[in-house]
Amino acid sequence: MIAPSDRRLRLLGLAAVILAVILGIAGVPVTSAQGSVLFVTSATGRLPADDPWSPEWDRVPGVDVPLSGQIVVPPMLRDPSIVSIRARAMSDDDRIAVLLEWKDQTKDDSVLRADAFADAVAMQLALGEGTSICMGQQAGGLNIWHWKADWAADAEGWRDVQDVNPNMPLDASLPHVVEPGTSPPLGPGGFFTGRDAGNLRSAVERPSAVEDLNAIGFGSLSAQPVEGQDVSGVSVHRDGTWRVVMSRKLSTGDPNDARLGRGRAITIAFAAWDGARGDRDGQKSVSSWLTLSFGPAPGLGFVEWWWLAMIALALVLAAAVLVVGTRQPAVGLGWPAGRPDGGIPEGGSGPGGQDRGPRQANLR
Amino acid sequence: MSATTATIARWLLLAVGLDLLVTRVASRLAIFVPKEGGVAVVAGIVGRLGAVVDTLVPIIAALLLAALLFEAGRGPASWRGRVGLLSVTAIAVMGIAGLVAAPTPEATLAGQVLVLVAALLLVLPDTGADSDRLADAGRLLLVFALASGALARAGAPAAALLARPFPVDPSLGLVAAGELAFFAGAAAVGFAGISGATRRARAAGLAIAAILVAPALVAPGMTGILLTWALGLTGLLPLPLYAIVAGLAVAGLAGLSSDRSARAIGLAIVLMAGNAPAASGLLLASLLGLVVARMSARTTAIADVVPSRSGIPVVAPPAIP
Repeated sequence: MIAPSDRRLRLLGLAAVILAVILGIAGVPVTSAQGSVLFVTSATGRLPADDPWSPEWDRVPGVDVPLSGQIVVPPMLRDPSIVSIRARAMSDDDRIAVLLEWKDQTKDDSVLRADAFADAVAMQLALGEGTSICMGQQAGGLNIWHWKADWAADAEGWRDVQDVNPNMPLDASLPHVVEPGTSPPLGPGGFFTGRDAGNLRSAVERPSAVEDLNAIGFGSLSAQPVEGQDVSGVSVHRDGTWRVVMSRKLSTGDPNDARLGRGRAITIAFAAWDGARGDRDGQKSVSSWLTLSFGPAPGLGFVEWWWLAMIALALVLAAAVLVVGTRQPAVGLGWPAGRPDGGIPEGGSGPGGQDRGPRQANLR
Repeated sequence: MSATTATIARWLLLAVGLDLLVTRVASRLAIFVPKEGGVAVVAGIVGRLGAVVDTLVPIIAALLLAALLFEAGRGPASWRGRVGLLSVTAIAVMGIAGLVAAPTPEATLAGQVLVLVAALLLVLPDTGADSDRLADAGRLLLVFALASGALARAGAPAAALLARPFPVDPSLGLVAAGELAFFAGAAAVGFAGISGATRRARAAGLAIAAILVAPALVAPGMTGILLTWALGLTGLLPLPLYAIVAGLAVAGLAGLSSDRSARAIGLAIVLMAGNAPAASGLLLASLLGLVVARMSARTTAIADVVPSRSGIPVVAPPAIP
């Protein structure tokens, strides 16, 4: 025979399972991440988005993010070329600047040779809940800020294949120098199709050294239109260390851009490529998810009150259970009043017997 | 530990075990499988099942916490036990609050401090502790691993509050120390219980070790990433060692469960929740596992609370350390 308490316990367990099924299928989260958090520091003056080595960055605490090789989908990288990235973030309520710093003894900023690959770093920002860390998924895409060293070098001065092969033969009908802004954009014979198609990789002039992209899974990486390229990038390689600052306005109005600002916390991850080691495409060093937190919105205080209220309520309830519980004997269990040894008054039976004191029991 | 609490603790053990197998291993293993036709359907089902199990863990953990609170209020519980349970309650609530509120440096730091407080209270010796020093050493190492993870995560919010970076960032070192402690704790638990394990339990442990060693040797990259995703271990040590210790721990827990079921249940929950769990549900489960592992070794069986001939059920008051 199943005791009543045992039956209630089983019903409780069944209710828990049913609740879990409902919440799980509905996609209602009941757990939060307790992992690494990158807190955005408020800028006290001008945002040093154009100077990665500004002393202002030295006062900003950051997080060291360990990286591992990308081994989920080919082309893979088994051992990470870069073992960790130090990330710092600062905002002046109009723009956010993220400084990424990592060790790399060589400055690889040219892809003009067939076997040359450039250093790069990327930050992916989740656009939805439950986004896959592996380049996103259909239910939750990614906004990716991808800085490339060769794009940064091109911004300082356009280089082409003839710069690394000065004695290469050239077809006289193809101008090897096309000044930016000249027309026709296709060039003689229509050879600059990439440029005319708006391919940023083919462009002579680019808005930034950082490419603004989106992805919803493997093989879906897509650059945003030229007019949507709104992430700036400044980089300096010094003493075997890269420092890259990527910055953007907090609010862009573009649904393909991650929404940033006070009161928000967004899931991010990093990836880095070391050109000297042949890193390119999926051969990259990647991090796990962490949270980019802006802290509470100014003047509202709701976040703090929410935290405090929840914790206070829980502690009061828990303390009440702990304190009030000690003032009562176990209901239905334990010993009746006046009989701490667990003995039962003669003739007493059922719960009513518990309420009878010794005198009442003796009168029987 | 009362029968109710013991039953709910077993539920939590089952839920965490399912979460490890389904949510943290199977559904993530599916990432490596090309999604074509029927495989995509199966992967989708596994993923949905993983989401359900992932939701079940914090629900059962909350039930166990409530049961422990009631039990502590009902019986003779030490102040350490009560304060520890209050700390765990606050941690549980912060995990829920984190769903709707962006983490602030203050709240994040407070959460990690609470984990440290709970860990410290759990480290202090239990008055009713058994004499198995190796098992107790394993438990202490697992507490240290949890505390080390909390310390590592406390660095960033502390620096944010101070508005200056620390001269040296100790977080990676703390993560490494915590992982070594977790590994050593699992090994200690295994050695503690292996002598009491049946032949079948030892064979099961050996089989598990063999099953896990194979992928570690054949596909170390994939195994390493699964180790990180499933148990929060970065692979500091050679991967086959993790496989061997996993098998040893399984056999050891089976040996410990023969007479000390509360301790075995608690330690099993902690080991399957993983090292320094990042998800609030698994963190709560891990803390509760440590609480259960410290409790009175004798579990009151359900048969002990059936009504006596008088009709009034009698049971000895439980003891919360």
